[in-house]
Amino acid sequence: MKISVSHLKKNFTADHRSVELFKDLSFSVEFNHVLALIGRSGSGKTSLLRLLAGLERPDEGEIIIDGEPLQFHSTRWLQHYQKNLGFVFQHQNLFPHYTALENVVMPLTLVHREMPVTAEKKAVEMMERLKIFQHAEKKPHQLSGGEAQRVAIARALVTEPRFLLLDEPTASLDVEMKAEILDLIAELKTMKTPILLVTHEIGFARKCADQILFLEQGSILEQGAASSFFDHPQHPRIKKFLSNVFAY
Amino acid sequence: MIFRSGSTVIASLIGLALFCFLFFFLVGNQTLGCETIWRYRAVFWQGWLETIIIALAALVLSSALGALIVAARRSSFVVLRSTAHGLVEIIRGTPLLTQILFFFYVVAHGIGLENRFIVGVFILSLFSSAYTAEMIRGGIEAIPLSQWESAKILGLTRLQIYRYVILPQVLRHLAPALTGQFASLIKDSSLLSIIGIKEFTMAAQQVNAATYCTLESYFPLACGYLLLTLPLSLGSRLLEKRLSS
Repeated sequence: MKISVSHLKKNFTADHRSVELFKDLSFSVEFNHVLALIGRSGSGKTSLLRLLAGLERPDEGEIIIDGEPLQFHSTRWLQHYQKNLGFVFQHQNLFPHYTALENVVMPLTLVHREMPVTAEKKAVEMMERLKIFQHAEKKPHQLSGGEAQRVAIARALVTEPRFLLLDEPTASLDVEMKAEILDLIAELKTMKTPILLVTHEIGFARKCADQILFLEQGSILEQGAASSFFDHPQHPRIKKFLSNVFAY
Repeated sequence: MIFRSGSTVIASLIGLALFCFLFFFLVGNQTLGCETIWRYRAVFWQGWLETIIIALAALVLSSALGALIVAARRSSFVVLRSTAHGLVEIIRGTPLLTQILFFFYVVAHGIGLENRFIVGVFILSLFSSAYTAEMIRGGIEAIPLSQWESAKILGLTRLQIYRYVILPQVLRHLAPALTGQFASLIKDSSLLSIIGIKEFTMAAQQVNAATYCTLESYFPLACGYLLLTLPLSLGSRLLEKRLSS
């Protein structure tokens, strides 16, 4: 999978003030399994992921994914693009009035026009695969954070998306659940669906990612294969960041 | 839950009993013309049914109008948005009595609409729709942005997002408020007597005019309204508790 971003500009409004996050962001990256976006809090990782998902529109610039430019001005195009990708939010964002199973079935029946029986069969298979089927009839508020995150991942994967975007999927979880979800993401590598992962779990990124993008104040400070990034970082700020992260 | 519901029923019954006690205490030794009033039971009954029909019709129509107003207020067209906003402000900023008189004597007469029942239902619906619209709008805006984004990223259309994600959540929260609104509609419908609609209040006025038994005429009126509004109030509380649990 190849992502190219050129001359991207994006302002965000925070506390009634316009903040220029991406001034002139350009990069190109190619990866097979997992691309990890890492960096300090507020560096623009989640914003970049949201731009790649079409949840935000750039003020200027272009994003090209596998040779196809994202057409932000076309609602129909964006809808078609979004239905073919999987996105997992930090706080799951399951629909509270549906059961876990209904949450997973929903995109299949409503968006991909699958017959209810086929959709349910696929949803059950996916939930069994992610070891969450025993909670199929529970509503989101009856699930633990880790269980809800598994349901969210099942919902994102059940449509067999082109690629999967994970926005800090472990940020709202306790240590034990965090480990569960990280194990699950590691397993997802075998599904051959490319994954873009925003994470603060640097150790996990080192273990799982094949490419790393390090963001700092809306710019790419360094990018490259995970092995060279972690073993031979070039930029002094990244050396300091990694030494701080791996100090304990 | 059962205990709490029970206590609400008991509170309602105590309220009703207190009302009856006060009534009979206040009239003291006066001779009540209950037998005279009993002869007019059919008038009361018809008025009571008419009130229920008016309130039900107004509830349905005001919900539809309220939804249309919300759609207009959330529209991207500035003119539509401003018109809907202006309409809500005018309706909420003026007394219902003024609206009834204005619509009946100016608008309805102007367009040649003579059917008082239709005019009455329409005025009541329009009045209630402004409040219903604000309730729905508040409900929609209370849904976190993350729910919209989550539905959007799955590829749902705008209509599907409203139909399957937003409205079911809004209606869950709105159910108690809408039940309360229905109770208000029942009470507000009493003002329609001013334009000669033969609803419950009008029935009491007619009986009073015919019998000169004022207290005896208005006592069934109060009881009749309470018979409708107390169960609704109870239902609203039950819904509220069930949804919050």
